[in-house]
Amino acid sequence: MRKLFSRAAKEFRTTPGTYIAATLIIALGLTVFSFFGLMYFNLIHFTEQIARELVLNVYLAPKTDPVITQKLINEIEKNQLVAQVSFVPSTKVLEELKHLFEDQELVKDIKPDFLPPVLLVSFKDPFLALNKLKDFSEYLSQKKGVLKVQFAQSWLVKLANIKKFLEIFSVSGLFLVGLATIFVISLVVRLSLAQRQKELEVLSLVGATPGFIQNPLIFLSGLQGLLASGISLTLVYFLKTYLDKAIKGFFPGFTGSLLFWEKWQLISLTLGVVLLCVTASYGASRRYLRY
Amino acid sequence: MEDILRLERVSKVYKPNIRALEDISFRVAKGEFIFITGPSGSGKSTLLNLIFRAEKPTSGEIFFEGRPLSSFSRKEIPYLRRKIGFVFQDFKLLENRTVFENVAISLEIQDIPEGEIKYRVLKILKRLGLEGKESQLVRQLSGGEKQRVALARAVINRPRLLLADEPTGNLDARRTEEVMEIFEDLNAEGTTIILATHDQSLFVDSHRRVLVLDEGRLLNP
Repeated sequence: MRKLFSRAAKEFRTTPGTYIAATLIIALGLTVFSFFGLMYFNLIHFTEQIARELVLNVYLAPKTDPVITQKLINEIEKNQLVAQVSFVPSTKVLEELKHLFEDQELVKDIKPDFLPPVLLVSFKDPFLALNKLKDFSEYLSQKKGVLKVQFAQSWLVKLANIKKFLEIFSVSGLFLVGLATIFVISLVVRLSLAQRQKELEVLSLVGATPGFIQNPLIFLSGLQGLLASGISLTLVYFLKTYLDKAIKGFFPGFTGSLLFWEKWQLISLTLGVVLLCVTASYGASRRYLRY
Repeated sequence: MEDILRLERVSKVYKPNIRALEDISFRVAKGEFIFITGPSGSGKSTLLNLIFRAEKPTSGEIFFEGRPLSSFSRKEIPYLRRKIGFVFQDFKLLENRTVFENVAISLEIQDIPEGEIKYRVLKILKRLGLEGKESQLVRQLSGGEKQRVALARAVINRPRLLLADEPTGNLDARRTEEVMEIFEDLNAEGTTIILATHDQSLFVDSHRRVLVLDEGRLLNP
């Protein structure tokens, strides 16, 4: 292993400029891929988040018995599609109304008892629940103590279509960007080795084993991939942090920060790039050996 | 005397249908020094490349120390090449490396200790008249000096067989004589030598065996 490190170091010292430039190009290609991937991923997540905001509103009759209300909550919660049920009492509804109207004269005479309390029902995956929502709301509207059930079906359908479009767009877009990235990485590794073609040929002619020639090159390529991934993902993280601040408050449904790659995704991406660099290096160096 | 090399009906055809060598058979005894001559394009370089296993024959078989070259696997070829030195017509030197590095490369690949590499490289450079040039870049050398660096690299490994393709092609008369003396010395030390040249003056007065190639055929098998 010590010999491999020393041969790799010697190899690097031969053409440091080429190795550094190649690493930066790989990092750039990977940054473009991971940034767009992250953005597509966030757009889909954002759509889902908005859909979750469009909850099912179950209006209860004023002064409904709390026992009946609790029973109804329990029944709704039993449904596997339901994520959460929140009870909004009449007093809270009135507060919300006061917030909505600038002219407080309009709401000053309204008594809380006059307003219906509401159950806000949110779903784990609103798009998955879309087909069942109508039946569910009809079923709930017949329950004792329920005045009316409302949900924004048309908006949910529109959002579901947007999500579908984004998914298709993401898959095809990322496929193309991914292909371009793979092409750039392989080409850069191959070109950096093409510079060494004569040396590799001479080494193989004087009796160097394929392992002696290829191992340091493959090791360096793997290291390049690792370094490029590190640079690229750090860059994307800083971009994401900047965007978090820049777009805060732009969208009503967007409250939190943008999502970043999860740990397993980061590891997979890094391993993928390292594997790609190693394979490209192995293939290119093998071409120049004369056995 | 025991054969180091044997060729049996060796032919080489390049695509689409260029016959570089046709039905070549000959033997080389251990310690022998032979010349292969013929006009340009007669197949001298191709023949040496086949013996070195840089190329494969289209048909026929080459035996090195009794073993057919076709039986060497990809992994075994480097070890075969360590037993065969080759002075290439175009030198195949690394122009941006020093003389020392170019010669040492043959030993470095065998994980020989640094101290021994230094000793052996300096010794061979001195013997070939390149003393003091070890730190010089190859691109700064004259043709004759490059030829001697290539020779140093080929013989530093003490090969059993030394192949030389037009080793005096770039040298003046005095340097040619010097290089030929080195070949004679190496041969005297037991190295078998096959030297390909179109220059008849190199062998005309010598008692060495000469194989004549013409259009890929051996005229005096």
